[in-house]
Amino acid sequence: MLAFLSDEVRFATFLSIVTATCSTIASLIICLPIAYALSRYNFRGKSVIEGFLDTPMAVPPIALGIMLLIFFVRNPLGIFINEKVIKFVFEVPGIILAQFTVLSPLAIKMLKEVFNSISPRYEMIARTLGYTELESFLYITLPATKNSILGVALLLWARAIGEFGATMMLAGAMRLKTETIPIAIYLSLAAGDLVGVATLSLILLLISCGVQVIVRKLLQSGFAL
Amino acid sequence: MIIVSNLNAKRGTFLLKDINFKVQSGSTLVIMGPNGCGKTTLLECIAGLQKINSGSIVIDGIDVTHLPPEKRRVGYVPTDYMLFPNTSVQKNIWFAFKRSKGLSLNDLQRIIRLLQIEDLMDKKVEHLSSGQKQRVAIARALAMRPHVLLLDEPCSALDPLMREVLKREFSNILKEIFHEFNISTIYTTHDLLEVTTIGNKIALMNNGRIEQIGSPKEIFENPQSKFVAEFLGYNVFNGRVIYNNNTSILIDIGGAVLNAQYRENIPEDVKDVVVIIRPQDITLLLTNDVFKPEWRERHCNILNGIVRRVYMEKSIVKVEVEVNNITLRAETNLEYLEKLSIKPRCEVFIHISPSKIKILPRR
Repeated sequence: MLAFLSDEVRFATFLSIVTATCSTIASLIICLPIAYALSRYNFRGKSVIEGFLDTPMAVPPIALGIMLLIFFVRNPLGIFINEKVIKFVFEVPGIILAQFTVLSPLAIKMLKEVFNSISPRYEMIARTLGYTELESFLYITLPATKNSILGVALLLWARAIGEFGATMMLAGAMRLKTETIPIAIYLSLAAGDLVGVATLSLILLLISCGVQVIVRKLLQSGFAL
Repeated sequence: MIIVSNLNAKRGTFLLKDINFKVQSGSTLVIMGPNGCGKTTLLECIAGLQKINSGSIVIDGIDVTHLPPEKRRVGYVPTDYMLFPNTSVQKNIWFAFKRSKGLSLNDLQRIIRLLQIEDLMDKKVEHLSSGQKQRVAIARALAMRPHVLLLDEPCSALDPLMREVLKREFSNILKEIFHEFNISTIYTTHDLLEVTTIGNKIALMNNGRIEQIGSPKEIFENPQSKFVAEFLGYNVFNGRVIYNNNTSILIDIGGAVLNAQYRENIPEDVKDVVVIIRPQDITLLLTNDVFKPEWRERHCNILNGIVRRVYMEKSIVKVEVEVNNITLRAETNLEYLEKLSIKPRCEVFIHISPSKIKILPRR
């Protein structure tokens, strides 16, 4: 019980929830229009773009993290961003960016399937009724897919909260600084603190179970993914 | 009023070619044609949902050719109605009404009353029957006060058992609405019954083109092409002119010689023709009376044949008679058929008036 109340566990849990929420929201905001465009429009080079967006799924998160790290410490643009705009390397924003990089291809793929499940003809009808393309999306497609999008968001959040490889490479494993639950498990294991490992693993397990239950409830009440 | 001029469009490999027509406010144009002839593509071009390559669409004096769908004020009811899922009937209609211009709440209530959907307002669209969905979709299209209403085969999704009853009722309702709200309507179908009950004007489409356009009387009495005649279920034969003397024309159709009234569209040098005979213009007879002199003087066409098939379509009896190498389809009523005891394999005489034989030059 004491392990649950320790500063380190509470910090890791809080940081994991905050960063996972931020990266999920960021990936939804950025991937939603991309997924919609890939679902609804045919354009030259579409298959190339789809292939490019799928590539990160085949790369281990740890390799993605290394690539991000190299970009921010070697590339002039990366160095400029890291020094003058937002500090990513070994900082909390780095956790969010690492999670975002891992989540984005998944988000695009799942959201595209969500939009594919809704006939574009509903929007066409809405347009004949006096609504613009954007309004048709906001008033017809978005409400019709809201449960599925929420389901995708929860799955992304669950994936983000368990993210380790990319986070470790870009944000590092610094106690009480960039210490998310997976990083805390790694640090506890390295220190031989098996009680800490068990506690943190239990917390992750409870979170992922809770998310699964919520996702299933949502999918039962609305459109299937 | 809607005027479509020289409209050309491409959808995949399908081409819509040189479409021209005009529909006055309050009038209905019924577009007929086989599946894949371009009816839906044409409606989508008018609604702005399909790009056009050339031509123009003018609605109530405004050129809408390059306007987006939301600015055209064209109500569109697709074949599958496309009611917004997981919402009530009321929400579907209200969604359209929010964008209406010049339609009062009283007008909307009148539309709902005319379409007999007052009791369905709180129902989810998933719980509606096909007939109810059809009416709700029309109400939704009318709720935004369109200048033009496009109905794409609105009866095709109906249950076949209920189709006849609903169609009659539906056509009366539609007529009342079109008259009341003075809307130009374009209605597609491949059902001849719907055409005669709803349309002021008919256009027959084939392979992306309008083959013929005119009043129902013009189309049914004077088909201008082989396709139109075949689509209407008429007897169509390729024939060869064997005599043409500016008063009458003798044509050989598969061994049977027909005497037709002279037509200006068939000059003397035209030999290859298409012969069109409506099934209802063929009279079946059993006796030799037809060989009496008074019949001969009238240059009647009396052909001797064998009945091959007798079948009913709704209340009409159809009789297929084999004459030489051709099969003629005749239409009669059950009473007449029973009076003459016409059965398969019995010998009959058929009479076709020369004035009822339509001839077109073969292209």
